[in-house]
Amino acid sequence: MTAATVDIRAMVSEDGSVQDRRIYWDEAVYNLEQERIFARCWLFLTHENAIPNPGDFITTYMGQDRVIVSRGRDRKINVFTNSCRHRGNLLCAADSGNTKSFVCNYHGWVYGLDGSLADVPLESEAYYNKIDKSKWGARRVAQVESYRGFVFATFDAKAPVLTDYLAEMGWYLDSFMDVPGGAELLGPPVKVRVKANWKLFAENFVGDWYHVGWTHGGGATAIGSPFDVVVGNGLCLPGYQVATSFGHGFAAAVPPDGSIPSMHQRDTKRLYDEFMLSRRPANLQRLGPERAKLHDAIWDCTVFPSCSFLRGIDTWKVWQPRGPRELDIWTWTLVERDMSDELKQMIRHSSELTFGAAGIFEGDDGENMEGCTWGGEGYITRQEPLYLGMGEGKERRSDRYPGTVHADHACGEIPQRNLMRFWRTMMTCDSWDQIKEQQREQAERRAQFDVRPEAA
Amino acid sequence: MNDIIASDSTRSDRLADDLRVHFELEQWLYREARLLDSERFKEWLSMLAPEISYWMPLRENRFRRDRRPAPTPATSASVFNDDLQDLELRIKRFDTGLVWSEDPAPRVCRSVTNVEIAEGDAEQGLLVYSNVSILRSRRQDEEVTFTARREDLFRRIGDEWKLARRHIFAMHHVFLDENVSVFF
Repeated sequence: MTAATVDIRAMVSEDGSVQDRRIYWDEAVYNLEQERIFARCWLFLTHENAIPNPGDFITTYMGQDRVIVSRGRDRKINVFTNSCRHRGNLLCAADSGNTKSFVCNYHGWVYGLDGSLADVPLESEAYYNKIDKSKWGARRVAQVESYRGFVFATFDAKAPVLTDYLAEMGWYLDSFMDVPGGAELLGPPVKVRVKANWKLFAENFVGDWYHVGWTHGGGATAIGSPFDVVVGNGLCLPGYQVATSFGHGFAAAVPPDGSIPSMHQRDTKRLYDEFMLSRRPANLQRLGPERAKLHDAIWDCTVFPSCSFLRGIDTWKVWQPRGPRELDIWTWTLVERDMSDELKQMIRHSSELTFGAAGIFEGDDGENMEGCTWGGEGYITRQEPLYLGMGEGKERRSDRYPGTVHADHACGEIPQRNLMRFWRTMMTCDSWDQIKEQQREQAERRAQFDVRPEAA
Repeated sequence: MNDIIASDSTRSDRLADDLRVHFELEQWLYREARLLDSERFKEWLSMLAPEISYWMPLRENRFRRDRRPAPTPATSASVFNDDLQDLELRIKRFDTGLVWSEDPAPRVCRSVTNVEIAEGDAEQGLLVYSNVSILRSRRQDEEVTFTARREDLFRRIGDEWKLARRHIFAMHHVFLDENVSVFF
């Protein structure tokens, strides 16, 4: 199957509820994703606090492109491919540091903090001053933006600006990002390799509360109240799901009694609850009642394509694809700047214990995702479509919550179907104009939904 | 002549003590490995001192010239950063019988080598180095080997050695298996 013959339209149904399992298996589908999704969408890179000073840098990936993210002397954030333009060698092998320039290990070509080619050895003796250095700088991304300290970039000059791409999700992210002090990540990221397709994690984190009571039964039982109530999937937690434009979505569990449902324990929980309660009046005033409640809730979320987080746990993820059947999971901890250093480190420890590399919840997921991927190995098995139809017909809209809302409880597959539909859109549309047109059509269809006045 | 004989016997006493302590702690580490391989986690917990600090930090790739301080348990991104209650929570989860990824059971084999008794004493803490290699084989053919250096602090409590602190330096940056579900 070549890119020209991949029939994506047939692989995901129009409403997103049925998938051909080749989307998790085929090389040709994956290659098209690299071209149509990872080379065009906004991808999460790092938090600004990892590169606070001029010369600071981290290295990461955009799709399978290795990139350097550096803070210039002008304090601007530069993002460029981690690749020398001479013979293509890796430019920087460190994960992070501070430097005046990047020097290729092969012939000593020197790149500036902005990726421009600053110097080549033997320029007059061997190049006879004939090399035009301005032509051989590293490839810079088309756009870099920091959304409240969270740095994203895209290779596509035609991609909408980040705030337009985040769309309604920006309003929801502000529940914890647009608070006094804002939010930040604790790194460096810890990395774990899983032999699974990256989309299985993106779709799980976009709205899968259904799996918590079953996959994570052991961890939920051990942690105890209030999570042990879901063990065995006897009930759905009160809360809601939201799907937005551009494939983003989340599901939140919001206790009606105003308690704080975080997964933190012991002293961490005590200090976390104290902090959250102390911020309630200010949050209510700044964010409004819906987002003030969401601020305190426990939620899973995916920002399409490959950035996810769990608020209340508080883990932040990027799903770095490495082919159709492998990914690296990069994990940070999510905290608020105004928290004490002590509380931040306690939250880090708590999030590592649950969703870190040896996390007592995270550890359950990898195996499921590998199973879902490797079922595609069988010729016959691969031909059986998969079903994602929970909560069909339950899409609503709300006066107070932007996007598509499902508010009977937190369990459903509405954000998952939304993510699948947007995946289909990105994979089949040649231009952002077409993509934006499809998002407009979706928003118009949403306007026909019944209104759910009390979304949560 | 008497002085020389006296100093010889003191040296051999010290050597006998050193050999005994080395033997005891090496056996302790082998026994620990066997208990963990056999999933005898409650017995393993009883080998730990109440103040146990169990830490395995991320191994970041930094340039050799990088002057930033080395990570500490209070400042690092970690794989494990546990006290006794955290370790008990991990085992409590395992004991629920609901951890599907461990059913059927994997095959785990730890090899402990390079045991060196460094400095310290039995009361304050004896520093012990060792290496561990853990082979985990799951399901049909999923195999991974994790390797690490360990820096342990042992205290003598009653007539037993107990592990008071373990700092684990894994030989990995990216962990090449879907979860780090073994104790190092």
